This record gives sequence, structure tokens and C-alpha cells, in this order.
Amino acid sequence: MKQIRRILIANRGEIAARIIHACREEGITSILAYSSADKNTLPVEMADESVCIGPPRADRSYLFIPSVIGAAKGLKADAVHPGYGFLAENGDFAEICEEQGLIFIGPSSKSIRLMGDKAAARALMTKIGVPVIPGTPGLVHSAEESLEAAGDMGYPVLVKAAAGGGGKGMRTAETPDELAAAVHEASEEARKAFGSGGVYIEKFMKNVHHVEIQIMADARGHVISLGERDCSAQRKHQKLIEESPSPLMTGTLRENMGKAAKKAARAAGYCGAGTVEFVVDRQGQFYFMEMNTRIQVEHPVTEMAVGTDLVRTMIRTAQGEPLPWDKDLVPRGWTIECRINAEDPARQFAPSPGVLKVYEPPRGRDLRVDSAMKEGSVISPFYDSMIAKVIVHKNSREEAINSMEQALGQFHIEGVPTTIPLQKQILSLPAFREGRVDTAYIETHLKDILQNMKEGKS
Amino acid sequence: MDKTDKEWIQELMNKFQQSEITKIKIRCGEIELEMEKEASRGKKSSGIISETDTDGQEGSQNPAEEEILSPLVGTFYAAPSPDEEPFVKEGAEITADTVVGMVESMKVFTEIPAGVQGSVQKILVHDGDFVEYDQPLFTVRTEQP
Amino acid sequence: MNMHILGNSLMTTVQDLGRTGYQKYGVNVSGAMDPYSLRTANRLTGNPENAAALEMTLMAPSVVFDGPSVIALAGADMNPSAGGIPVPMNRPVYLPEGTVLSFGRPRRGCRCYMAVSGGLDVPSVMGSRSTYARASLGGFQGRTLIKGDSLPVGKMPEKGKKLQNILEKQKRKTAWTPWSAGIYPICESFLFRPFRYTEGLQYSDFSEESRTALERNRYRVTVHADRMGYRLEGEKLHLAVQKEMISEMASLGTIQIPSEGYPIVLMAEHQTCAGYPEIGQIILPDTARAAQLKPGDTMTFEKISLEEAENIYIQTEKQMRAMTAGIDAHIEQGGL
Repeated sequence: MKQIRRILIANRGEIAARIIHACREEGITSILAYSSADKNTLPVEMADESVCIGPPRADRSYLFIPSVIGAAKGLKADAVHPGYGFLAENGDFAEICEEQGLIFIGPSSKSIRLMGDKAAARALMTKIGVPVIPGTPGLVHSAEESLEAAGDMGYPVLVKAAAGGGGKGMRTAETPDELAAAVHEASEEARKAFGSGGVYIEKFMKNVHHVEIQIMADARGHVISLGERDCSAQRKHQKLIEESPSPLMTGTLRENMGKAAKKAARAAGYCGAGTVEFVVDRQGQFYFMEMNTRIQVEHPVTEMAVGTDLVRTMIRTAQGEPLPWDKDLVPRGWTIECRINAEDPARQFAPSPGVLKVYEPPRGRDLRVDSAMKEGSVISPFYDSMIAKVIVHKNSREEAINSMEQALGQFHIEGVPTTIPLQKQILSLPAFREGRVDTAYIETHLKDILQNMKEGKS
Repeated sequence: MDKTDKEWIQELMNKFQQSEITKIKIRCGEIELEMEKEASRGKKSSGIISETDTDGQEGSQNPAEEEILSPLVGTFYAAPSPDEEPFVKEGAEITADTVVGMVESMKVFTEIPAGVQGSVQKILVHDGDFVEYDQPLFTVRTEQP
Repeated sequence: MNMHILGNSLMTTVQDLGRTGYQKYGVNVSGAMDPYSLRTANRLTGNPENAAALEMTLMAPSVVFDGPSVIALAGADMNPSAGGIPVPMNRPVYLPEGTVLSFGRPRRGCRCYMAVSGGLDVPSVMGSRSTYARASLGGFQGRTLIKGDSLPVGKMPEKGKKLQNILEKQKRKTAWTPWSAGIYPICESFLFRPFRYTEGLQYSDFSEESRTALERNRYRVTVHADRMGYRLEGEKLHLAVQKEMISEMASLGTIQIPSEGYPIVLMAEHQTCAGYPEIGQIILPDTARAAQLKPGDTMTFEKISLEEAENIYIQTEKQMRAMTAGIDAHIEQGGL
């Protein structure tokens, strides 16, 4: 067991603040690596120590491995926490940490690479008996191959980049005519974003819910499931609202999905926090989509649903400690999260950087706001447009929805457009209230939703 | 010199644009002007033009002193190798292209170009020190315009 | 594209990391005397570590490429210049087509490695492009290079192209990155540290006196120093009791003591088996350092445990990997 005393946090914004909190509670010194654009942000004030590692551009700061490692070694960190995004799922980075004597707070580089190759991960799942979305067994290498595969599985299909993630490198094709363009665009996007343009093809699942299982594993290979999160309320693969439990969950389904998720984690030799994403159809059948080898944005949903601190547990498992549970955890009550982004729903969700002239988050019982913002904070154009995450936890779904609506109503933000009006609109939809919002719903009904939003209907 | 405020401000903005100063704050009578350029790498000016009387004349300029900032985070090296002389010593005359040091991280050594012309006034760090991005490494007495 | 050798030199050969797996047949490993410098030069051009490059000893030939190229020089600083302009060591350098690269006297060290992006495309013999001149094996026609030789260069890899794109845009025609890389500098204070060794196979057969003498005394590299081994001069060393030796395997870095008592350090082209008693085994990172010594230089020795030797080897490899990742990150970054 290795005692961690100093953690270099290679991230920014709300997740950096989150990790700093966890460090404080663990009695660990937090060292924040920040870019010059983030000099005056809250996490820099919060951290015990901080170090400027580069200019605003992420590829020369947060993503520039020599600078992150240089900072970690220069400040004598024992460990590095990558947060989410940036270098969190970069196998090379995890490997360099390992070799440089820095504990990478996350799974091994091997696990990251295995699950990071989406095509290889699917193949592994098939091998161990976890159901996968129908699709090509590996990458497609020619136009003929993709046409044949798509023809076999039936349209519409989803072209996905093997190196992709976070919704990038994906394109749908409804007809054979659209396929070539879909393959080309997905491949290009992936090559630019991830350096590799290999794609595979999956059947585009209609009328499915996106249900993911949070797992936690320790160095001894024990894996625990902490229940599911339903993230079906999404637009262009960007999640807007998440909840736990899932409206279509049953005890049996949860057990089976939990088993499958744990199998996946074990097959990947996993250690730490991870999320296995599935789609669940109307018949209650679930299919593996991909595994995310990092702490996720929506982790607070699980934390409030089962009553735990995932970030602290991540740190402890990284030190070699065993998991504090011996049974799977089950969500209690109902937890909902809204991701508040500085985006204008009325203008194609264009990211809208600016200054938060007014920032007054809601307060209340069983309400949590994860944010690194305060009045005067800047949403900079260099990074994502996340303002805050609002999470409510109540006894029932209806109470949770009402509580969230209230919270959003009390969240006073001025200076940038936000997704709050949209989220309020979604919460009021009968489809949402009845738990019928599947992954295609928002996109399909977006025009109407935006129209109602503009007219101030609720 | 008898100019309207507007013309004076315009001229000042032009001069600022052409100069190597990156940030400037001027008070002149009732007029207060603050201008900042998009961060130009490696330089920071502490030159402040001080205000004077109300008819718009520029004040006298303090001898300008500029700082050379670290372009990377890592370990600072003052010399090309342990056996050689440092790149520059105090008093050395330098131009924008003069290499004044190196910053190393993961065994890659990046040269630090001076970025300013003048003479090295003070060396603020030691060989082997850990430095962060934008950390002042040298002060340089720049030539008067 | 081809690389043309424009002048004669002392000893310039094509080398990679050696011909492994054939010592049991009597074929020695050969390869770069200072493999860390060869690997570094290769990585700096975007090549894999084992690509074939030039090993230039003490006096290097002028060369010219008949196409634009990205090269890197690591190891001994031989005052390289391109078209009359001094070019720096240990970093990617872009040479426009037809630029002559020439060298002067070495400032320090003995062997300089020049890698060109794409590698030297000479035939691979028994899995390696290294030259073993004594047997006319491998490299360019199995021999040292002479004026007039023309060697093909392989296809430039992706990383090399990235470097070329960045460097072509600079104002200077011959251009280089503002960053350099290396795990240690080739300078006096590094080169002449004690050479660390572990106990040799016959260590305990040497007299107490001799074992101490090896660590107390300075030994001079004589003129009989080449790729096969270095003959040293200094305090003689003796076995405690004369014994007949059956030939057994010899290894890179072995310090063997023939009957007259002066040590021989075996280097890259050592024979596969030898009959002299072995007092010590210089550790791999230090044999690379020894490759930078010239006749007249002095060596001192320090005995360490096998465990320490393994740790040093592992640490050195980790440094190489860190450096490689650092170089790749800088290449990705567009030269910063």
C-alpha cells in the first residue's frame, strides 16, 4: 500500500474543485496545475499549492504531457489525478506516470488502452458473453465492406470511431447513400480529435435508453456495482439530464446489468472508478456500448443515490486499499442532475463564453451544486462551457423533478445564455415525467421544445 | 502640442500598438486609459507612463525594464551543459534572438529566447530551479526608444 | 533520396542496435558503440529507435542529401555546420535539398551519430543493418564509408513529415527546433565519472591487491582502442593463482585481464568467446559512455552490486522512455 500525500490535479473547473475537496477530506495536499487562462479561477484559490503549466490552449497546457509531468515531478507529487477529459483516458499518459513513479489515479494504462479501443472492447465483450449492440466485429476498411455490413444489420446505422469518445467521431446513416459520407466524416473527426480514424459500424438502436453502470474496483480485482444512471435526455450525444435509478429499471435488470458491468471491468483488469455504458430497449434487453475508464461528469448522481464519495474512494483504491463494500450498492430514493452549460439553445447551442455578472446558485436540502464559478467568473473560450451541475435527491421521482424545477428556477445567472430554460422545458414534458424520454427523444422533438421554451410555456 | 483628446488617444493607441509594451495604464487629467495586448509570449512590461498636466502631453518615461518569462514549466538551466559557461551573465547585451536559458521537462530542453533587446539586469532564478509557465526569469534594461 | 558521402573520414559506418540472436553461431552483435545516442538521434527524426544511422568516429565526412531531409546528431559534438552555418546537436534539423553538412574537430567525446528521417535503407543482414567490417557483413557493402559512396534513405515516417512541415516554414533555410533532447550531456563531467562494474566471472580468483588496484587507480585508454575493445594502461592486475582458462562466453563491457596484466574492455564488436580471466563487467549504460572515450583519456572504476546495476539500467531505460514521450509530444505540438 502506498500512502499518497501530494496529488497533482491535471484538470480545471468544477472537477478540479471536486478533487480538491476530496483531497482536503483525505488530508492530502492538493497541487493544482493550471493554464494562464485559469489563473483567476476558484480552484487556484482553493488548492493548497498551484503551478502554472502553460498558455490558454489546452494542447500546450492541460494536454501537454511534458508540462503536466514536469509540474508533478517539480512539485514532488506522489500522484496525479487526471479528472475527466484531457489526459484522463490517454494510455500513454498513464504509462508515463507509472514509469515516472507517479501514481496515476485511475486504471492501468493497459485497461485504458483496451477499453479505449472501442472496437476491441466490443470484441472482448462478445468473448466474455456480455451482449453487444449488433455491429461489425472490428474496423471496416473499405466502402464495400461498410455497405455490406450496414446492409446486413439493417439501416439506420451508426458509424463510430474506434478511438472516439464523448460523442465525437460518430455519424448516423439512414440509407446506403448516406453511408460513405458518414464514414468519411466520422473518420476525419476522429483523426483530428484522437489521432486515429479507424471506424466500425453499429446498428443504430431506436427507442432505447442510455443506462450506464458505475463500478468501482480495487487492486485485488474486487469489483462492486454502485447502480445505474439513466442519461437518455441527451442531444447529439451530449447529456443534459441524468438520473438514478433509471425509470425502466427492475431489480432483475439491475442485477443482470451489474453482473455484466463487473464482468467487463474484470476482463479489463480494472482498478478504480469506471462506467460501463449500455443501451436498454423497450423489451428490457441491454447491450454493451462502451466503457469509460475515468470518473465521469455525472458521478454526483451516484454519490447522492447510494450515499458515497467516489473521488475519495478512487484515491484510496489507487493507494492499494480494498473497497469499503462487499456487496453491490443499490440507488435509494431518486436523484436527478442537470448540467448547466453556457450554451444558447436558441442558437444551435453555440458555446457562449463571457463573464458571469450574476451567479446565484440555488440552495436547499438534498440539493448539491458542483461548480467552480462565482460572480465575476469567466467562461473562457478555450475550454468547455460548463457552468455548474445541479443535483437533487428526493424520495420519489416526482418529488425529485419538482425539486429540480424549483432549483433551476432559483438559479440566477446573468452574463451568458444557459441551458436552464431548455432543461426546465424538458422536465415539464409529459414524456419525461412518464419516464419515456429515450436517447432520440430530445433531438427528434427539439424544434417543438425550443418553440415552447421561447414562448415561456411550461 | 495642441491636440484634441480624441486625436491624442488615437496617437497613443497607435504608438502602443507599434511598441513592445504589452500592457499600459495612463491617467491624464480626467482621462484614464488602460490598454492590453493579446499576451505576447515571454515579455511583460512594468513600464508605466505616468500622468502629468491636463493639456495632454505625455509624461516622462521611466527607464523601461522588461521581464523575460518562462515559456514552459520545468527545470531551468542557465548553461547549455554543466561544463559550459551560462548563456548570459548580468550585464550581457542581448537581442530578441539571444538564447538566455533552457527549460527542461522529460529530458527535452527548450531554449528561451530573450524576446527583448537590451542588457541583462538581474537573473532571478538559479540553475536547476523549478520554474512555472510565465514565471519571471530575467529582468532586462531595454533601450530607450 | 540518397545520401552522398563527399569526403573521407577516420571511421564511418552504418550502425543500428546490433545483430542479436547469432552469437551462438559466432556472429558478434556489433551495432552502435553508444546506443543511447543512436536511439536519441533516431527519435529526434521521428524514426524508430533501431533505424540504421551513421556512426562517425573522431573525424566525420561531409555529406549531402539529394532531397530535403530531416536529420539529427547525437553523441560527440563535432562542430557540425550546414552551408557554413553552425547547426546545433541533439535536435531535429531540416536541410533543404543539396545543403552540405560538414564537421570539424570533436569538442568532446569520440563518436557522433547522425540519423536521417526514414533511416538508411541498406540491406538487412541477419536481422540487422549494422556493419561488421572485419567480416564484410551488413551496413553499406560491409565496410566503412568512403568519398563517393551513395546510400539510399528510406521513406520518411509521419513524425518526420510533421517536423519537415514545421521547419520548412522557418525564415532560415536550414532550420531546427528550439528544443533539444538527451538523457545526459556528453561533457567532461559526465564522461569521466567512474565506470561502474559488477563482479566478473573470475573476480574471486584475482588477488586482493588487484581487486583493490582496479578501483584505486586511473587507467589510460591506449591507441589500441577500437570497436572490438579498448586496451588500457595502468596498474597491472593478476590472478591470485595462475590457472588455465577454458574459453567461455565474452560480453559487452567485460574487463578481461590477459597475462601481461593490462586490462582490455570489450566493446561492441567483441569476440563471442574469450579465454582471459574476467575481473569485472561494466554496466550497459557505462559501456555507452565508454564509447565516447578517445585514446589518451583516463578511466576509473567503481564496483557495484548486481541489484544496483539492474536499477541503474532500469532507470536509464525509464529516462529514455520519458525522453521519447517528450520528443513525441513536442513534435505533435508543432515544434513549440
